Amino acid sequence: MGIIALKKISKSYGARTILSDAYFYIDSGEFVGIIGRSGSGKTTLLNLLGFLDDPDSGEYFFDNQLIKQKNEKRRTELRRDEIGFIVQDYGLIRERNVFYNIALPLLSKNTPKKEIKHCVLSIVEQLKISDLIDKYPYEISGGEAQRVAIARALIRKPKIILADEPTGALDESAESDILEILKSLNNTGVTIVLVTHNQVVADICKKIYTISDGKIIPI
Amino acid sequence: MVLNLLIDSLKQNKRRTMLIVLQCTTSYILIILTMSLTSNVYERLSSVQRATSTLYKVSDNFFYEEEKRFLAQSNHLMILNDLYEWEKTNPNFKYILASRQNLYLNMQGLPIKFQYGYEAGHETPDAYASVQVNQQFIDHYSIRSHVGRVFRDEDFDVKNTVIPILLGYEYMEYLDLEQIVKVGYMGEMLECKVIGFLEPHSFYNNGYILKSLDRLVIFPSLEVGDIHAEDRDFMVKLFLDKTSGYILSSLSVREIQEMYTQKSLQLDIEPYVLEGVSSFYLTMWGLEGEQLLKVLFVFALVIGFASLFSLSFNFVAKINLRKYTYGVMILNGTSRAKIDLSILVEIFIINLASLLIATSLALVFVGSVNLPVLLICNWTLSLISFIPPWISVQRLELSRKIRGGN
Repeated sequence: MGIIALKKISKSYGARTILSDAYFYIDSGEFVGIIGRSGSGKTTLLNLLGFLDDPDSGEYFFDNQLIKQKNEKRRTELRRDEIGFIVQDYGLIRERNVFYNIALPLLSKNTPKKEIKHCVLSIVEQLKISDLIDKYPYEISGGEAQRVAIARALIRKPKIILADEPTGALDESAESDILEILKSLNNTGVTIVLVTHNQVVADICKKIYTISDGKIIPI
Repeated sequence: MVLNLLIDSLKQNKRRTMLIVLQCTTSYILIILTMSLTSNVYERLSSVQRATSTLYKVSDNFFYEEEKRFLAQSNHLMILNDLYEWEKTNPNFKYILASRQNLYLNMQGLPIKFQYGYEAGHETPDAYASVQVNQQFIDHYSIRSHVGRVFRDEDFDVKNTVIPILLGYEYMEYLDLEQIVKVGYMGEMLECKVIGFLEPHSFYNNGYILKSLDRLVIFPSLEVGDIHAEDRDFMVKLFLDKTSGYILSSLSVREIQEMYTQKSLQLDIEPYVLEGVSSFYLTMWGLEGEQLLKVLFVFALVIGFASLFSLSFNFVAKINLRKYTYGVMILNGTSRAKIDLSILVEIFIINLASLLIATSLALVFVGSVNLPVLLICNWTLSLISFIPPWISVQRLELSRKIRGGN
């Protein structure tokens, strides 16, 4: 079984069916793109994959663990330790500086200060954002903010990164920078699931899926 | 992490935090005022009830010439002494001495409001109203001093060369503590020392009304060790006064009258007469005491609910403003329990700070506060007002909040 396995998953919002008895598998190290027009259910799928939402029926196995058997606390821990999130609006806390934003998953786990400092400095160097460390989110550009979000997603060395329109708010130059980072991350073995409505962005993925009639189908 | 969350929350939304502190402080001030009013009403209600319940007035049966004739015979002192000792030590009732007597006060500059008859519009120059009391009087009417002290056992000794006296609250402006004054009392010139001024609005039941002690001189009931050694003319008058007082007993008026009649016959004097005293009810705002207490209780409850509502409402509003931040934190591994804990601590801190401000203000304006009760209110209010914010955090939908933007 892969890192992600959805079996007969259904999800509706009122009368609108998003997924209906859908199956979906992702193996470790894959770079998967999910493409579709706005409102097709891409983000709903990503929310299910990140345990931010529950399916109406069906089973979701993450790294061979049945998610519906996990309580809120365990899901939070799994999310913190195994999944990195990147969202379109970066998901940064405005009132805290870049260092704090990147360190957030470690702070949540009461990691010693010395270790936090070491991890943050190492990741900011890797992503070439060392000069931003003391700045606040409102003092940096969109491309820089997304790099910070990627740094935060990577700091716990997750098995998988779920990226929801990571370049949606960026200009072309910043977009290509972020996609390069994601590609190089995948090359190091990190599984990436990228949701986008942009075909150019999707083209960097090794596998591309779309949601049609409640099913997740490869393109 | 909890500390970080707390600091962030306090640093942001400062205006809302200030508003919450202001609302809480106002609520606590209202609670303190209501509590103070309630305890005041309860105290007065209890003292009025104490002042009227199962109380009988007992008086001698001598009038005019008959009284003069009785007083003229100094051997009657032994009879009166016998009666007084019987009253004082009778196990069937408690004898409260509150005997009115006019006295002469050798003082310049006292306004006429203190003179006897002033309230009725025909004051008597140089005559001042006094009441002779025993220890039971002090205990029964909960007489307390505003300045100085009330009577102690040794103050009731007739051998005191200087007689200690207490003065009503209104005398405080004109006389000093420890001041020596010459007092003409039942034909004797006595040297008296002011040992205390009573609390304002002290009162006793004189059988017809609740009589204010604010303008009265309070004389100790002078007790005698050796009755034969004393000035008989003075003592016989004093003892006639001392034998008329008030009876506090659960027995019926008929049973006590029977006891008095038998004792009077035994002493061969006119039987003393017992009568019930008027009943009084404390009223305020047109409400009798117990109803008033209920109204105040409901008033306190309403204030409590209003403060609960406003505190919860403001915290939920604060959480709504911070939902995105909380969403990001939960997404990155912060547990909801830690967020809940930070909110609970914040509620406690704000409540405690408000209580501190309200208590300081109340100490300045009201004078005293019941801190243990207020702390219990504080903790209860904090815990209950935490419920809606807690629900709000539990219902925070991550998928919507994260996508919803900052």
